[in-house]
Amino acid sequence: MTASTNLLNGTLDMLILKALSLGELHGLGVTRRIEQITRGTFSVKPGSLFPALHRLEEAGWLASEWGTSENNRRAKYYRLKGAGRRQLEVETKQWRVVAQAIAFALEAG
Amino acid sequence: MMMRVVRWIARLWRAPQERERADRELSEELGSYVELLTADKMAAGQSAREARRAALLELGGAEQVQERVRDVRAGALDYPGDPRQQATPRLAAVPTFADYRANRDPALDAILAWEPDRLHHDITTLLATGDTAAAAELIRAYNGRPVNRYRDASTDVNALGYRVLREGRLAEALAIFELNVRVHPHYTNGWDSLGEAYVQSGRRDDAIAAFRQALAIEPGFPPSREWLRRLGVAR
Repeated sequence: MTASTNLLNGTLDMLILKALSLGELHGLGVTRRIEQITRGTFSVKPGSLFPALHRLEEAGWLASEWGTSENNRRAKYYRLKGAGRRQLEVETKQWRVVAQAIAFALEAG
Repeated sequence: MMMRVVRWIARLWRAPQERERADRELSEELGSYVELLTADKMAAGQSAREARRAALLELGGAEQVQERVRDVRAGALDYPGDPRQQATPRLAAVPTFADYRANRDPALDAILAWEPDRLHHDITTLLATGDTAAAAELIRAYNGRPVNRYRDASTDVNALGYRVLREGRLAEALAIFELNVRVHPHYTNGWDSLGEAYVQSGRRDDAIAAFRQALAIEPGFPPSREWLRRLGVAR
């Protein structure tokens, strides 16, 4: 993660699920996809990324498989399972409620 | 708390081979991450050496990342957002029928009797005096303890070597890696690490021999294969 922007607890999982909802990726691919979809705001470092990937896999939301990368290297690819997709929907809804509530609070005059 | 103890005990029972396999796969995954990141950085114009160095720095200590993933797998981190690092000790306890009859729980006994070990500290101290034989003996004694029945100090000593190496204390790191393969001659990654320290010391021939030794133990071991390729040597 960049020094200036810390992810709120739990949002890393949601971002990983979101990144993988667009297709299967290896670890570095997840980092790149998150950078891309958050327009460079979040850069997830391996120290947070790998524990999260393995936790999500353990939870049954992701599946992994060894494959070959775009530049012909062996890499472990993660993909979203059905349960992970449902979890992403739940988390997305919750997040919208929270984000909206905070926006209201900060605008309150 | 209770949940944590239950998981802790569950961890004691997890088959050692399964853990070994998961560990190996994880180190391969992290190795692959470094490779891909290095390739990215080279594509962005960095030299192979700079790119690799930067990628390793970004990984920030493979052993630490591994330890955190292991904790996640064992359920040691109860809350996903909990940033605290836990290094749960792995203890062996073998229950017997006699224990069952006497209503004894060897797992709980092992947990209650556990004390933090000072392996890193003691090895560093002994090596500083130049007494490698005593350091080797210390590690053997550690491996021989009943609670370490399903593990040995190889990965701990390896982690110590890398920590010292990252601090730029090359000679000390070499002594640690050499000690590790002396005590654990069948530990593939130990030979690979030793090779890496030899590369950093400019001892090319010794490095090649160490990587070949790793490959002799575990044919196709990716990091050593990659090193030999980078050194321009056939396997």
